Amino acid sequence: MNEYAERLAGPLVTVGEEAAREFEARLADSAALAVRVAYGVLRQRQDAEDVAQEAFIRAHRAFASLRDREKFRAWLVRMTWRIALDWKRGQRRRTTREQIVAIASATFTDGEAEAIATDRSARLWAAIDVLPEKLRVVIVLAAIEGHGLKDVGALLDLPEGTVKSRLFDARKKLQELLQ
Amino acid sequence: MNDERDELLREIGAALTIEPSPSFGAGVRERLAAEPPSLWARRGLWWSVAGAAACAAMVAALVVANRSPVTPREVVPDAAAAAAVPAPVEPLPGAPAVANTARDSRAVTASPRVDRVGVGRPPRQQVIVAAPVLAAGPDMTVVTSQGALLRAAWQRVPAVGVAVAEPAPAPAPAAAAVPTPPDPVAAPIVVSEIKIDPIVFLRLDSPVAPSGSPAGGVRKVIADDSARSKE
Repeated sequence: MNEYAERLAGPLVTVGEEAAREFEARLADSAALAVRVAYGVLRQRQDAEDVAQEAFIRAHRAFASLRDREKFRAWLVRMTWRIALDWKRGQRRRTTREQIVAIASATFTDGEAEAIATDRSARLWAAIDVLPEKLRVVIVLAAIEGHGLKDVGALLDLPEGTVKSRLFDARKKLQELLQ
Repeated sequence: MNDERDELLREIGAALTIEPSPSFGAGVRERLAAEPPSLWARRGLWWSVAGAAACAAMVAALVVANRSPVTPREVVPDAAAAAAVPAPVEPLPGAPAVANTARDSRAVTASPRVDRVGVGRPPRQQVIVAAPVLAAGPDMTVVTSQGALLRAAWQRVPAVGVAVAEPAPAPAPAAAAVPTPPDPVAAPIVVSEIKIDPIVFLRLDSPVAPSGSPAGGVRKVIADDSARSKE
């Protein structure tokens, strides 16, 4: 009886372990992407990590339908973006936004150059915040990890032509805002 | 894309190039361990609850369907019920032979009771009759057989009287001497005797009867047919 139960439960345990291994692989593979997407909205490191963790928790709940790697990444990016927007709306009134972490974290020997870079980044992110959401997500994803039009289209489930058009509009508006 | 726009994307990308902290993965695992039961487990719970509710609904529907749709009510006799009781029906002469004792016992008596009127009605159509205390004896007879009703009516015929119309007697011979104009109403209608020739069937190949005696050919055909029938 025990042998039979062990033989019967063996494949089930194997399936569970296999799913756990797959999820660990997705976590290691897509953690940076999720954190960067969240950071593109929030620009606060700790908040971005919290949002990315929440997105992974939700992805784990729906992992049965997200076993495919590309499908998982696309779903994770969209979910992270949505959670980050909700988080930003909730935190807007009581949290002082961290400004320009990435650039500010760089080492500047010249104080004047640091001030110029900080000012430039502040203006850039202020301009990005003004963009409509559908343009903002396209340009943020295109800037992350060197994604091409096809990659952005796959992540957002949009045709490549639509991504190209939106990216063009986003760049044009950013140029106008930065001048 | 020109260089300026590529520079823009590179600048944004550089701002977004951050790596998750080393505790990021551990935080995800920790939160997963603290997760409530999975969605599948919750779905299973909901399915079990829904199944139990469906079974209960089916049992309730079966119980309701098997119950009698009309439950006889207990009627308390009052003045309104007494007014609603119809007047006693006088039995027809001869009708009691049909209304046997069993049916007589179903007549409205002193005690309130539930009675069913009508033989062919389905059991759902019940008439509840309540009556106060009445005089002793059967006051109402319900005749349920139409044949008995007709027989009772026929027994009442001698008392009413039935006149049988007979033809008027023939006039006296003396009266025949005096010519009187015939009464168009009283005079009998004389119908002369109607003679119908037998129907014969002529064969197409039979010889035509001579012109002077049209029945000769007919007789021959009849003779032929009778001879053939004897064969």
